[in-house]
Amino acid sequence: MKSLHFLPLFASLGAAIWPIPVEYSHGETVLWISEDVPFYWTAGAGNVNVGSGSLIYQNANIPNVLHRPRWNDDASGENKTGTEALSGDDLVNYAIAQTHRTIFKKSFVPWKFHPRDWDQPHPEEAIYISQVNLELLQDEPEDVAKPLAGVVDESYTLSLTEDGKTTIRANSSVGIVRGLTTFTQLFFKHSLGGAYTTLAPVEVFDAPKFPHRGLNLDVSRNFFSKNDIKRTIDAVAYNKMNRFHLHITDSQSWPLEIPALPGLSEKGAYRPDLVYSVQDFKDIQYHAAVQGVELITEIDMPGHTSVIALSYPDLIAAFNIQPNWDMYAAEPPSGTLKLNSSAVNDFLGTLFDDLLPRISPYSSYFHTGGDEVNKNAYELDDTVKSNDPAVLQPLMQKFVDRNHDQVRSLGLTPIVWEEMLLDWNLTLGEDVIVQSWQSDEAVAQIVAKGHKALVGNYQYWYLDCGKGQWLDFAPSAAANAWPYNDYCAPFHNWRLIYSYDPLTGVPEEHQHLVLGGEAHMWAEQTDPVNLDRMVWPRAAAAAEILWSGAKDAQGRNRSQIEASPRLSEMRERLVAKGIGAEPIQMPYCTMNGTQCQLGYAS
Amino acid sequence: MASLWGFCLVHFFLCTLPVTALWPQPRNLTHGASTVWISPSVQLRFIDERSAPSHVWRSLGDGIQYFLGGLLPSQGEEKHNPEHDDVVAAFERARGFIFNHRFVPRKFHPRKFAFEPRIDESENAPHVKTLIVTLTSLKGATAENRGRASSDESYQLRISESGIASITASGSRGAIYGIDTFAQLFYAHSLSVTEGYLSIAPVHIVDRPAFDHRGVNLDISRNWIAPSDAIRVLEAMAHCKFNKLHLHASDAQSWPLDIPSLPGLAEKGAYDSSQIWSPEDLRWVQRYGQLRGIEVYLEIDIPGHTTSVAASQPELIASAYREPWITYAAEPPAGQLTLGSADVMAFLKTLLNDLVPRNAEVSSHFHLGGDEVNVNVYGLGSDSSATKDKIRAEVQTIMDQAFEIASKYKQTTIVWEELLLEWNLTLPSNTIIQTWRSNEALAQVLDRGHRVLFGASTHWYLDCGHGAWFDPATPERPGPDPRASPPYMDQCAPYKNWRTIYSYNPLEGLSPKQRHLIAGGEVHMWTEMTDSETLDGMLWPRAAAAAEVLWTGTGTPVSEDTTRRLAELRERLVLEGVKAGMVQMEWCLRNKGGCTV
Repeated sequence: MKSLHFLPLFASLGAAIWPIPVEYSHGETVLWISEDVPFYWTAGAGNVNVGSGSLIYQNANIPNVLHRPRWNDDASGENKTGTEALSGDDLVNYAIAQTHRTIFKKSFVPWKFHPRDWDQPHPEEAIYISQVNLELLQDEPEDVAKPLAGVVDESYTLSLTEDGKTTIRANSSVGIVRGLTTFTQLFFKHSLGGAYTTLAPVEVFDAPKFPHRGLNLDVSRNFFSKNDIKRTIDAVAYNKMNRFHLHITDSQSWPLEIPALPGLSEKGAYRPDLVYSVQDFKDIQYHAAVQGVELITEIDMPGHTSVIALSYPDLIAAFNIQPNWDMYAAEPPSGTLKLNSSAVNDFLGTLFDDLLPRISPYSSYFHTGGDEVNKNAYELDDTVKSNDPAVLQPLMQKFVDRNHDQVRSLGLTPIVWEEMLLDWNLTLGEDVIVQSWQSDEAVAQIVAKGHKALVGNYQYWYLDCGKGQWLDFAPSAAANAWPYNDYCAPFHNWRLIYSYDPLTGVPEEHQHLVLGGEAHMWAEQTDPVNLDRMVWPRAAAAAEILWSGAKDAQGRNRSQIEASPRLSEMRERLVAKGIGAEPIQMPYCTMNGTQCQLGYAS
Repeated sequence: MASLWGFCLVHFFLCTLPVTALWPQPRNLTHGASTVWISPSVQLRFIDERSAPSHVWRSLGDGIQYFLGGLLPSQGEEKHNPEHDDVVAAFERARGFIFNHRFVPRKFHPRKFAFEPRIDESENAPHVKTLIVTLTSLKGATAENRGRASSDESYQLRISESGIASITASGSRGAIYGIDTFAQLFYAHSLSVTEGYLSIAPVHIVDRPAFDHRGVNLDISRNWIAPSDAIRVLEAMAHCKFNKLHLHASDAQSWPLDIPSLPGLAEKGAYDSSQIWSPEDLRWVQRYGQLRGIEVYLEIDIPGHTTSVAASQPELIASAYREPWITYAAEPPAGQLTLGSADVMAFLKTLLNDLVPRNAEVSSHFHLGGDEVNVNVYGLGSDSSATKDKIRAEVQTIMDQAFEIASKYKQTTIVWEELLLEWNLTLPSNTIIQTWRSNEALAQVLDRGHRVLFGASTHWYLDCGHGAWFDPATPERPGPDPRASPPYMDQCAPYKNWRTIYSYNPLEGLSPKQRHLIAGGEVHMWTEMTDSETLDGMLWPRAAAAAEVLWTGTGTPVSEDTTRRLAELRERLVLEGVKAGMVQMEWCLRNKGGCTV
């Protein structure tokens, strides 16, 4: 057995679990797995003691409450009715089917991680894995598929014995799902067919550092099909992220069907066919929830709402002012919901009453936006006619209070962008989660005010940066604009993303308020054609920071030398799953161990 | 045109639409505002006036007629005149593009705006029924076309208001480019699967390239790039009027090219047995390019960048895999051809006599590399002039033999700038020098009287800006190299966005007298962080920005019109199955003028 500390030396042998577990040890025995390996599922035993970091089982005599082979290759479940909550059973069932698919149909031959003349294991000597036991050790909460942060215990243990017995134990079905995800990463495809691991025996104890681990995808600036979104959710889940934030509306288009306000998407979508129908939206939420990923819907307001003017022009102030849009918005088109308008309140009341009951079966959260509100726009708002913060602030407080009251009355917890708290100095409910994006200082300020915070500093975790300016330059300005960089250049490569510690600058007594964070995919320059490579594998770097923490067991910053071959392997696994992720190194670098280091001294 | 402006004043919205969206922009374009239709039954009538006259039309079915002065195809032959395969193929592609990919430019018009002409089912609605392509002798070509080496790439295109369409060119490559322009003029109609249209007749285009050599350099060694990927690259290149695909076919990291007379090279030097280009693969790619007017030529980089040879013949490589690599190479692994070795000379002879004649079947160029030769590899002491003199003499010997073999097969050789500017080698007078480090290098090569290619890493390196792929030295002490510290930038950051590429002007500061020596340029796709999976997005649409500089000329400022035309090309590439990156979000394209600072 080799312990985790020596892993880098053997990285090229393919031992790459991403994100890295809390504890992981493995041997060198080859085991094969066949397509008819039985999965057994048992519920109602003791629990995994998470706190100590070592494995202590209570009530080790596991009763056979449920003990049945489970196999269901068609567990998409999209025919469930809208109000039917997902059970832990649904999650485990789906995960078993996915495990099967990943190991036997979506796997890869790992030649890039071995020297040129390597030998694959020989099938004729095969020892097969006899069974996979899944043991749920506790009763789990009803909302296991849509929990508030911290409610569901995602920890698990995985044990694979040298004679081929696999056991995954967890305190929740989500923990079982995470354990099965790790299990798939032990296996490779053989070039002659079949799947094997070279790592038995394996012992894993694992638990996430942060309870909120997300990716934010903007589907308004460019439209993404239901399948693009589902594919992205699959990759999110495979990286053990548990939140998928859908920035579903913005100034540029409104792709979400709202039956009570049909004009919104009819007139506001880029095209009549570029719309998420009620059924599409439900399918997407289900697809996330069934993988232990909670989809968080954001309707950004009062800014970033210009598109509403196409169907409800009276609700929007400063609509598409040109050419000096930059007086009124961060990017064109300008336009903001009026701030002191009963018509706006009525509109939002109708919108929330329609949408939020469709969200609550799948999520406990609703994001009401609140970023980049432009004060000048309210000079053009006939209900306000002022850009004076003293006038605007009380109106904003009323606006947000109304919205959040309704969100709560519909059973959900509000999330807002940091400006609402830090720039507008609003009084927010204690339940409200504040999402930071501008700086580490902002995170410290949010938690200092006693609020729960999400991190995602744009200088580290914005995936859109560095692709160049997308705005056109007037001829007079063009010459001075070379080399046409964008506002948040340079490109944030995975190393930069990986070097970000969500707890930077947060005093220890406030760290429990940092729930986690999100990597952000704003879509000014991303559409379905380039989505995969813009997000992956860079978002996976954020996923490991959020699951494993930015520091290793010794309290040091995580090592890129150790991470880079593992991330390369995760990238190959994503490609095998049909996600067009980018390579981060040449095969030369991963075939020969760590020979692509700077200043490497022999 | 006066009529167009009158139309605009009345119909304000139409003035906000793109007038044309050709890429690259033709040299000379005039047009009106009439609608002309086209249907899948459009025929090609092909006349080669350069052959002896005959009065027999020959139909080859599917709407293609040859009128090949005297060259009657014999019965039963599938390809009746291979000389014109490329023109026929171009026509088939154009027709396929218009009616199979069916590009409806919705994204480029305001929401709900009826931008398409009303379907006109009347008999006399003007239709392009036949595209007449005429190859004419130089005598008949326009004055503008005459007297240029590239005159066979020029063409004229006319489409009348009544639908008469003709292309005149003095060579088949001009005809191919004309046909691609023709295809770009038409849109599919959302309400009809059988009707395409253009709304700018009459059209008259007189077009020719600014530079002869318009290339993409694709590294197929550092990461696996499949032959089928190169095919897709060629398809996209054809839409931008590129005419050279430079395959950087071997490097230190892997040797993907099967050389039948040296089988160990790829067997042991490729990354994996699945990562090899067979001679048939190479031929397929080269032939595919030929049909699109694109010359696919090979680079075997010597004497540096050769470590992968050591996998099969370790004795040929000095300092192979030596550490610390940073002393011996620009990137790992270290290793260069051994100097003064009869084995190396014999190896190169076998290699080049195998590969060069195969290359020569479709290309007149062969690239012999010569970049980044490292002095320390040979253990001859420090970077002194005596050391360099010794290395220079040995490298000269190696290169002389290579030049000789290339010349035997009538290949024009290309080498990287260092062989001339750093090593002062004596090179054949017709050797083209490929510069990459700076515009100053370009000027120096011109002063030495050599033909030259541009493509500076500051503007035309498509790999830049994705961050360092190197790992730090140790977790605790990343080392002094800036690539090991946040934000972990690579050596040629930032990312070259398409505007940076478009604004590259290699001619700045050069004397007009020297310009005739500039053969053209290449945009470079090095593949340390790019493979099959992401190639399309790294190349396109940015390489297309270089294509327009090479075709239309340097020094054109970027305008919103440039953005919109490039965005439209991008949509066309996506329809071709090329996963091109984005130019601008849909809102900006739908709201012309709305995204300007």
